[in-house]
Amino acid sequence: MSEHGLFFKNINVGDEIPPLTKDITQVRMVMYSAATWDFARVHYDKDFAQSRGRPAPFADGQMLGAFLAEMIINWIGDNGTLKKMDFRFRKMLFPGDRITCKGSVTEKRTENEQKLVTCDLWIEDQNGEKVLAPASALISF
Amino acid sequence: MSEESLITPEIEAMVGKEKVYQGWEEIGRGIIRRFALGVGDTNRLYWDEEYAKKSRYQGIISPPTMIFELNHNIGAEIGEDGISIDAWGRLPPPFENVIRGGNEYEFYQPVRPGDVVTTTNKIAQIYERPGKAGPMVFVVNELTYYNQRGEKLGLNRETVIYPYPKRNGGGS
Repeated sequence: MSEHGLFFKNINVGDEIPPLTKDITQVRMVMYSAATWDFARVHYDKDFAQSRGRPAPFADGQMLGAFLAEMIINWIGDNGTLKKMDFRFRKMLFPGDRITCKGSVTEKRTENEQKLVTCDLWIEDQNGEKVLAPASALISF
Repeated sequence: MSEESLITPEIEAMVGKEKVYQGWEEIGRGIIRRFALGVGDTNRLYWDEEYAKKSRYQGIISPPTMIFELNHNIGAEIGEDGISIDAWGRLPPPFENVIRGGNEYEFYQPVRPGDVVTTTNKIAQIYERPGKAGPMVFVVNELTYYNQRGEKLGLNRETVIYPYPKRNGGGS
């Protein structure tokens, strides 16, 4: 057990997860493409993206999953384990967008001696519009 | 638009098919650190060996979603759209554009440097739904990730959406 983590006993239904803000930049998008060996041109080639009817290169959606996991792990620290996560996309993101990941605790239970916490998650853009929702995470302690 | 299904016998035959992407080499510390850098995640667990050793993981692990984005096992030959020609489960023409529907992740154990990750990609379900801009076809892929001991690392159930292309091209 680490002193840098949250404990099950200190979590309550309704608790808010400290939000995580990220800027969607073309550089970040290309770094993610390189790190994941995903060279789909819609993520960096403006002419190609426009030939496919997109206004501009758009961010890889799974990057948002990584942001949600980062927010959760920043919150729970070393004591908890992320077991499941699911999310639905609502809107594409483009360079210049600024997003904020948010979440709150919806359930707390003990099942087969496993301490479990369920959270609702979502992501908003700079206009407060939801770009990803609904989403949820299951965490064990 | 006729009432004919967009799911042709060719597409229908894809359901249930599975493809295995055998891992080539061990996951290295470099790829883990670069994934964290790409996301902008500064957690020392992903790159600082000394810090990670003192954690309950007793060593570096990867960010949880990293294995769901390992495209390195897919063949190196890249198509005109930048996507590996070996990528699996894509609908045949006239379908062109892909929209992400959503993902469901299950994390079974942390991924560590030295793991050799093999992926199976099964096309679990294909169905049609009306959309605002016309009919769309949904493809649900079930990707399961194993280490070199055959232990499951994670599951990624991914839904992708193919809008039916408009006749003049361009897509949605």
